[in-house]
Amino acid sequence: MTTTVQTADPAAEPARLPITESQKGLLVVNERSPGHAVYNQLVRFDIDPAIPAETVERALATVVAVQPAMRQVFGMLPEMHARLTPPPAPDALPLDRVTTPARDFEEAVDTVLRRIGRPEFDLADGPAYRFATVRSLDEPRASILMCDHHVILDGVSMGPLVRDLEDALSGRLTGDEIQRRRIAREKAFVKELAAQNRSAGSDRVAERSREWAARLREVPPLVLAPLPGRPRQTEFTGDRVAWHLSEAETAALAETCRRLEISPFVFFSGIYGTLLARHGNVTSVLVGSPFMARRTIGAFDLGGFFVNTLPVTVEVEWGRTVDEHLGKVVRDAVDFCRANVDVTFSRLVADVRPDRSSNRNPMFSAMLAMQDTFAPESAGAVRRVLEPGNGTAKFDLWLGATPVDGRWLLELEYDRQLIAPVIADGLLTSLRDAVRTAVRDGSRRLAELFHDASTAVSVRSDGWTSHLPGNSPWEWVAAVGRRQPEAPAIEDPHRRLDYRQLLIEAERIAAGLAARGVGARAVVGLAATTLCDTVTAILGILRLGAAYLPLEPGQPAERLAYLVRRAGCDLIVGDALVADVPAVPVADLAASTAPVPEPGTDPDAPVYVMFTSGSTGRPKGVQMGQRPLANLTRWQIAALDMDAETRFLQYAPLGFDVSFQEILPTLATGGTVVSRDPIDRRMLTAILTRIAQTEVTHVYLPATALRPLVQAATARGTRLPALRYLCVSGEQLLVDDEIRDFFRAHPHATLVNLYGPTETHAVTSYRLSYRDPVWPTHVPIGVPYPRVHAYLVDATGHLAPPGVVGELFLGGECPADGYVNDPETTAARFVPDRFSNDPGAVMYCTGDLAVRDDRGDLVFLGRMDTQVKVRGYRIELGEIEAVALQVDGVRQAVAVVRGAGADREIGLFVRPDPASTVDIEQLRQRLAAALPVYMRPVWIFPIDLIPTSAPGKTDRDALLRIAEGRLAEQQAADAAVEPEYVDDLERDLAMLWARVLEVEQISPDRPLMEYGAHSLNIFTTLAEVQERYGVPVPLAEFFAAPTVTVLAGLVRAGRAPATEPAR
Amino acid sequence: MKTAADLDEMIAKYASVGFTDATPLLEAGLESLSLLRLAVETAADDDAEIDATRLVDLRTVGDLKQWLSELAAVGAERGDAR
Repeated sequence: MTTTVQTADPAAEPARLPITESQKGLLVVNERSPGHAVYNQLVRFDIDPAIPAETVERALATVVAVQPAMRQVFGMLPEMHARLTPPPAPDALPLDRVTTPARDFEEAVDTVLRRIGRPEFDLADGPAYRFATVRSLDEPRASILMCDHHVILDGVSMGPLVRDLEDALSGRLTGDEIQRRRIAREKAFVKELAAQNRSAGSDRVAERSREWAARLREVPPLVLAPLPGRPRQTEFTGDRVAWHLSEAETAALAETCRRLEISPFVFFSGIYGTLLARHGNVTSVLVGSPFMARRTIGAFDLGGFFVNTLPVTVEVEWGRTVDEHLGKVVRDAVDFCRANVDVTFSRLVADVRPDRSSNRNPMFSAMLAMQDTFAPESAGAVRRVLEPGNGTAKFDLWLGATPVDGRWLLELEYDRQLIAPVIADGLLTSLRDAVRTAVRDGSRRLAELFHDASTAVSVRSDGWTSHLPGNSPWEWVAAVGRRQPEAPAIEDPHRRLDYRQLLIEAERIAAGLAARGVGARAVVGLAATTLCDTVTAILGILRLGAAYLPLEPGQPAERLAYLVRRAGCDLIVGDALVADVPAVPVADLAASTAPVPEPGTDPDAPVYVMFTSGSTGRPKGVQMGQRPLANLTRWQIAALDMDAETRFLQYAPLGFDVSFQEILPTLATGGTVVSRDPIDRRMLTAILTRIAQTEVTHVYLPATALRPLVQAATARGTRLPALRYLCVSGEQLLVDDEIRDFFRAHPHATLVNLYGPTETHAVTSYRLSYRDPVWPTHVPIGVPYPRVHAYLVDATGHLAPPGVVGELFLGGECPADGYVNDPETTAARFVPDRFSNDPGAVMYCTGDLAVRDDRGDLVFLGRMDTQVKVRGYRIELGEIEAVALQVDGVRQAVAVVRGAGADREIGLFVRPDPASTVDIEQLRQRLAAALPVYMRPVWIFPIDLIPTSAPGKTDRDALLRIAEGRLAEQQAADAAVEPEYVDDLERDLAMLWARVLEVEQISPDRPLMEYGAHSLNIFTTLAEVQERYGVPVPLAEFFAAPTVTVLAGLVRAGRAPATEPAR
Repeated sequence: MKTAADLDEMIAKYASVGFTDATPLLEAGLESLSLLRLAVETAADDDAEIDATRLVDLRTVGDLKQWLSELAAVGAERGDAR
């Protein structure tokens, strides 16, 4: 190293100094955040007010003179470097002088901090610092405020700087001593820079960096407050919340450190890491921290940017004790960083190769800064040193630990765009709880460091409720029948029933059922064809205190037989869908002359049994009772403004709990339930027409159907003046401008997003209308209705603070009775409500992950397991896999979901037994026999090895990538072979489908599902076929084998005048 | 060359409690910053370098004294940075 610093000849160009790796890194990130002054740092020195102002100003000039780091300016070419400028003349020092009355002192300090803290520094010309003094006129108070760019000073610099300031203020640093120190320091500065550059380049360091990087890549990203719409780029605006520990707490913390032989840095790293793990819902976090990396002895009297910011990996096992966590795990993790402090941050980043698309720190989103390098003495010239915020945030979250007046001051600085103030308060509460518990009792488990967030939030509701005569749906409808017997109750294309007719017919059905031995608590299968028959049968069953079990004709016989057997159902009303179980037509029951039995009086009578997908390979039957449904109905009537004028479209399949909401609350208020028949549920354009023609006021759709419906309305200019409420549920609702515009054009209509698993029915809602200025793209699921408790339980087992992901547990008056004839699964999912004061209370563990936003609304985030929703259908992938495993030669089966929104599809990978192959056709047949259409995989691929991620978990993302490759190969292979069509009709149909599905060409014999067809686009395309060829396409036959060949055959059959159209 | 007694005297200025060679540093109230201050005081030459990665191995006052002696010796013998 031959560089020398030119200090004697001011005319000579100062030499270029090689800056540190850390400085280079900082200059780069500084360039990425222009206009934000993110790396401006503020220091406040409270000084002895007796010192005259001139002495203070001279002292500041002296500090700059003897600290070469302060005089750095930076250049980028030919390579990044610094130069030292000469010391400024005392009158040229950038200094703001403020005097103020004592009562306004703190306010004046804040104002000045803002003023000097915000302007950016010109690092090319300097200076990279500015000062201010604040003095009080009437009381002895004085502060020096300094703002500097981080690239010239690190945290450790504060010690040397304050020592120089102290010397200068107290007259120990004057005259020749200034010059002597200046020359010695400049020499030391150059040597330190040279030493830093030398150490950064060694091979040994490079190898350790690569090894470390490999481990860092395994740590999941820390995402605090993971609310949808979180911006990728930040404006770096920040704010702080603080907690100043008491003397006793500070002493207890010191005692804990002594007992565990750890430094306060290890203590805070461990506690902070645990806090981040709770709030980020992870078990491994990176805490960035500056590590002291000065190398030469002379550098310990220097300011400068010689730190190395490194990630401490804090592993959090919630069952571990505080003592073991801090005294062993975290201590080792910190020691690891200390032993590798010669690996620079920039080298580590280069080896980790993180995603750099955001302007945030590439390695860690949370930082811990120990600001304890200087402990002032009360008798000295410098009384107190504070490092206030400047309204920016370099990290998502930053924790500063500063000893102030003999006590720890803990400050959390947070990025305002990512973390709302209420969420920051939650973080501070967790920090306070964790520190206090940790210093009190080291034998506590880490999960016990935290407390429950407010239970008030869990029981908060939207307040809507109304009056109902009792819990029994029969009573509700009977009361309406007495009030308005001639009002229309049900409309379907075949019949209309008023309330008198409805009740009379239901009574006869009840009589017919009673005569066949059906009594209270029996489960009766329901497979009626028309809406009038369905509703009269439901009411007849409910009058007896029995429960109905919806059975749908399209389901595989094997599955229907299982549902009936599992539910203990001995009789089916309607079609004979299951062999061995007697079925009786509705008309036969309605003709019964047997005496009408008295209505059931059991307030806990079951209402229905509905089956949902089960991960063990068998669907689970949810038995729902009167109380929760009455609670839901009371809410719905009020929340959806239902009355005798209400006309509710009956859209949902009876096997979906939504059908209850369409039918019974409407009848309870004297409204009319309107059938969607004869329109197929999936033909949304026709549904739209039906909505318009029937003038329904209330419509309830799967969330995925909203967009197609709105698009159809927009395209056709359809107006729905009668519509008041459009409800959706079943999947995450995503809205865009098109949907919003529809509601702007329909200012009388409100969009309601409902959430709730079958096990509790709908429990929360969120509404949007033209009045709302902001429509969140990812619509929240909102808040519960009265007497529903929505507990969000985080990874520590506590009620989650706002912004913390947790599993949603649902208690209060909403859980179902359980799974029918399955006490084991019931006990696993319906557990005692430990948050309730009521000893018998039960809550349902949904397995759904959610988070509360800063307004207290719940936001759905996904599943804890592999349950998925495809076009509104709830599917356990395990159920599909379990069926596949029944086929010979299948050793392992993994189902995956590909695509988004209406284009979601299920695929299946099967791993054959050794020395065996899987007959894919046989597997398809088995799946078709056991599973409903919506659960059948669209494609099946054999695979030799199922990829796994680090902890041995099936890597579904890797499987999806494999699937993309195989599907592309398949498409390429198909494209290479010119398909052969038997006639022009086939060719035209294939072209039509190719256009809809956006593929090159379509083989006439391959199922269209394999090209991406699904129920929604099939129905729109069939409508087009119908229009083009003027023949109806029988849906059932098409779905049995959905290929172009079959479709062409159906069109031909429809055209042939002599042929009876297939039914 | 500093003697063991000299070192004890210097360390005592930074320690918060009494100690022997076997006392763990943190128990004696000696944190990394104190260790570095001690290194600055002990080193014979301002150009001497500290290998910060070694600090992690210093567990007891005895370890510290050993390290400080080495630092003083290197500085005295070579008078230059490594």
